Amino acid sequence: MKEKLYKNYVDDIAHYLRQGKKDNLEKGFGYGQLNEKLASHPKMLWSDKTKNEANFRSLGALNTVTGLNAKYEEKLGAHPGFSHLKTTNGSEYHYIVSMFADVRNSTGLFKKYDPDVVANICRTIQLAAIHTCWYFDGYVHRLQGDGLMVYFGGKGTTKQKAVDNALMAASFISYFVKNDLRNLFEEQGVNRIYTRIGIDFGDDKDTLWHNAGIGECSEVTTTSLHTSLACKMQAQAESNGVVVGDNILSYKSTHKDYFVYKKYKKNGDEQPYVYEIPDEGFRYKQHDFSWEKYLKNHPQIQEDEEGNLVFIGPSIIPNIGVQQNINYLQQNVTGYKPYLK
Amino acid sequence: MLPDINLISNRRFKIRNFQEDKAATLEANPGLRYDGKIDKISRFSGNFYLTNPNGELIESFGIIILIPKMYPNAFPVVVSVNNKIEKTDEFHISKDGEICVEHTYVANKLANASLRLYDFINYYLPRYFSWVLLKQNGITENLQEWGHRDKGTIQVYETLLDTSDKGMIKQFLERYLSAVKIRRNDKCYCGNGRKLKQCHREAALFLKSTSKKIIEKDIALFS
Repeated sequence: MKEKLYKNYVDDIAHYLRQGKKDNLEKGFGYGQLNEKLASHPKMLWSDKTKNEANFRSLGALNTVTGLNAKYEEKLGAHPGFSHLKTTNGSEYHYIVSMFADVRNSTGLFKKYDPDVVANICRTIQLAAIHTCWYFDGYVHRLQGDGLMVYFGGKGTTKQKAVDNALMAASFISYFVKNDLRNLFEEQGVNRIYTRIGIDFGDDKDTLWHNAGIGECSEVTTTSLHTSLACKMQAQAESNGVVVGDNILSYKSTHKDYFVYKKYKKNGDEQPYVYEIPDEGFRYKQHDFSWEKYLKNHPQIQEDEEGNLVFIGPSIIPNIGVQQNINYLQQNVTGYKPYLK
Repeated sequence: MLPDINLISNRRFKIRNFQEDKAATLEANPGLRYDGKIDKISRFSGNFYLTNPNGELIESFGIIILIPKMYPNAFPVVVSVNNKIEKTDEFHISKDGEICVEHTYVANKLANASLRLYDFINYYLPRYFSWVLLKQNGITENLQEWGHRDKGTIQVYETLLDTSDKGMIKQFLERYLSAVKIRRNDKCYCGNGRKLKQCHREAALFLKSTSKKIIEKDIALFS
């Protein structure tokens, strides 16, 4: 049987969801101080570096789709292509694809779980999203509560590739939350968590990279209508939905059927455009992105009988960790003999 | 004689009960979760991370560990639950995924002396999974293994008694089984005339951890 792509994350979340509030648990395990210490300083398992790397590697099948051998690398903050602008007063016009992904409805978890359990659940979902973005060459710019802001593209990446990567990452994140986590929350009688994602493309002339803030409290960021709109469109998305700006469609001209025009809702009223500058005749549309259709029609992805995604093509990439640690492995097996009953 | 396995030589703290064992195990193995007890069998699941001395990940392996109810006098059962290792005799895994990390009689001895999960994982899992990775990568020159099933049991007796003389092993087992108690000053069961304490007493004590009914069946292996 093929394993679920996000199995490691799903199993962890299922485990956390089985925890009750501590007050409801039997007390007096009999290991006194150790227990108290654990209770007051619970270990945040999701932050363990080895665990993160192992979970990241567990998504290795995504390499089949990207054609890249993505390596685990903790990166957050200035986009490497524009880091030279940090703490300078320089700026640079350059295109970027901005994505805002938010995990919604986590507040309901507090009714049933202690904060450390809620943290473990939310951070595990967030990490699954981060790791997915890394596979698609995304640069996680900022974490915002339960959400994240990610840039795709930059110097050396074509605009087409950047758009493709952003759409794939958004599709896989939505797939994970919608399909893999679907039953877990319902089984525990907890409101289901869902994602909302907004993506937009800001071309070279529309996107200015520069430093913002001051001293240590600063970051290299973009000022672009389309970065702002990505955030705005994320708020327009349905549960587990992805909304994209009109600019994205020009890079998917042969696949317009994946996009459905969506009116902009503001205070209950529907408006035809997500943004307009009437004097300039600028009117910008947003579209719902049918990510499920996009995944199913991808030439390297199929669905098995159980609805799990199966990847076509070479999926096992040699583990270089083995080659680099041969001596250590040989040392480990000295004198060791496994048996077979 | 079989090499003496000391599982706790590197441990610098005490583990006095299951709760402490569980806490230490989860602390040292961030990939594992404790699932609770089902029919008195404690279950852990998740991933074992094989790391190098610098703490860098070499590979992770999806496993379930079951702790039989006789804990701490029980040898944990490890089941492989992902596709990283083929479920074949070659990799010492049954079709159901149960991994055989040690010969049953050695396992019996360790369990008899009481065995903590923390120590079991620390000792056996890096060895077994290193063995697997080397085998998968075709680096087999230093790999050893017990023969499969009866062949391995014969090898264990041969190593234990330091002989490949089938007649001598058979005689040793027959005399061992008929002895009510292992007395230091009795004649050694191997028949060389020396006292047990000067000859195979350690081997006889080793066998105490395995039931006499099982050893009785083994005699047929040397007939």
